[in-house]
Amino acid sequence: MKRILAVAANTYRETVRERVLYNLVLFAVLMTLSGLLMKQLSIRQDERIIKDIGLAAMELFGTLIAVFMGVGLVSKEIERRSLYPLLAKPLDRSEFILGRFVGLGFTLLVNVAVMTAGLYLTLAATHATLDPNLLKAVYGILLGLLLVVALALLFSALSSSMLAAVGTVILVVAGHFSDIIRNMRQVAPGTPNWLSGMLYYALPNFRNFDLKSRVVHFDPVAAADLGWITLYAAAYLAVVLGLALTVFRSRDLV
Amino acid sequence: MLGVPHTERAWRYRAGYLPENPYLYDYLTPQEYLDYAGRLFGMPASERRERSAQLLHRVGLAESARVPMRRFSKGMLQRAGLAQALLNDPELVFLDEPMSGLDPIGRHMVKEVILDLRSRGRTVFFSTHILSDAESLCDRVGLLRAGRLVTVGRLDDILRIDVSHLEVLVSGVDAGLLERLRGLKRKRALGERWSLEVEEKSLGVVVSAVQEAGGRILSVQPVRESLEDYFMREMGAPPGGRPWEAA
Repeated sequence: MKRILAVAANTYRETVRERVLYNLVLFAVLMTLSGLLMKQLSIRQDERIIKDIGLAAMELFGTLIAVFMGVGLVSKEIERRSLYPLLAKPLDRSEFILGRFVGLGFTLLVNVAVMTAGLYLTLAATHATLDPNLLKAVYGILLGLLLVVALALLFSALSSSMLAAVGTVILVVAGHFSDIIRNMRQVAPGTPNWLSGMLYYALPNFRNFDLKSRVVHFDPVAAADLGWITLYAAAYLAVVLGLALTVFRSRDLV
Repeated sequence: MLGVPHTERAWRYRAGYLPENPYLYDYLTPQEYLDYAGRLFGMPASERRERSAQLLHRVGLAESARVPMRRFSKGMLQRAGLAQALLNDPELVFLDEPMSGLDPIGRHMVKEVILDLRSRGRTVFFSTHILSDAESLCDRVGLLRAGRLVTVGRLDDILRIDVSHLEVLVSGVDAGLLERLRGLKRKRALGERWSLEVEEKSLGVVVSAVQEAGGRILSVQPVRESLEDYFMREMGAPPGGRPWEAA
């Protein structure tokens, strides 16, 4: 466990020193601008728009970080050969993979936490209600981001950074449009049911984590809903990380 | 490995490794890298601090301990790499081209480190293309050709220990005298001096002739087969040819 945390701490430090958290500045500018512009609109409207923009930016920036940092988590280490002196130490490959996941996951947690604080500050500055339910949408975003990191890590353990980026982006985009995949017969009539069904259940369904519009429109989100998406994320993470460990363990690094 | 199956973690606590041209996270300082490496060995914080400071001093990086490694030259990275390979005071150290990219002072430092490890009973396994380094540092050597082990053994067993000839350095004689001398295998002019390759049995004749002609004997050096000679022979150089011309 100590070694996993050591790798995680170094991964977090890497993201900080690679100036990943600079996206927070962009987020702050975005929030300030939307706060200023929305003062022109009615109170109810500006509140929704600020929440919409804030949550969407949180998800977009987080996804970009998760994909583009995630795909280098293993492949970049192999390409630069920085992994070799580490694996010559008493560090197992599985500990390395889990440490990298936890490290980038922590970076995203910090990122999302600071953005959430920024969003609440903007709402407070525009005298809007500080709805605690926003945190439920943030939680959904965070679970989705962890899943993106795990997928990027799997591809990163499999191939080069470039191929890993392509693979991860395809899966993330497909996962956001899983309803279209389920109803593929309407778009492509020849598609067999079993294929669309299989793809629908096999691909990660990122729509499950999307609680943004429900929260913004004050629709209730039950604790059971949060429990369900937590279980779904945990199961998917276990499978994807398990695959990443298996792939990385069997990879010939010579 | 060290009496433990290589698949197990245990031996890695007792081994060190320096890859060729190490990349050690350029966003870290060497002190931070050593601290990270120490955590992987499960070393307590105080030991990590103490050992890092000691090693950075040993490899000549004490003053750059807090400088990010992205500002390091190749030689400085090599020094940092060596420090991380020795962090756990290993019994067995693998060094891949440890002197590559180093200036003469750095090369001297690495040689001293290797000799120090040897004197403390540690085993150092290193690869090099500089045969004189291997000859001056190793007890046992192995020669690889196209990735295959051609030969392995103690230097004393591999090299012919008999003196093949003597190298005599003289001054104050002219080329005419040297032309007439018997037992001289080869001569080479070095400014006003001559370097002579002399058969062992002809040394007396050569020395007397030089002194009678008013010349001076500056040095006499016995020459044995070097690792480089052995390498050239073993790599299959055709007679009078060069090894890279061999099939």
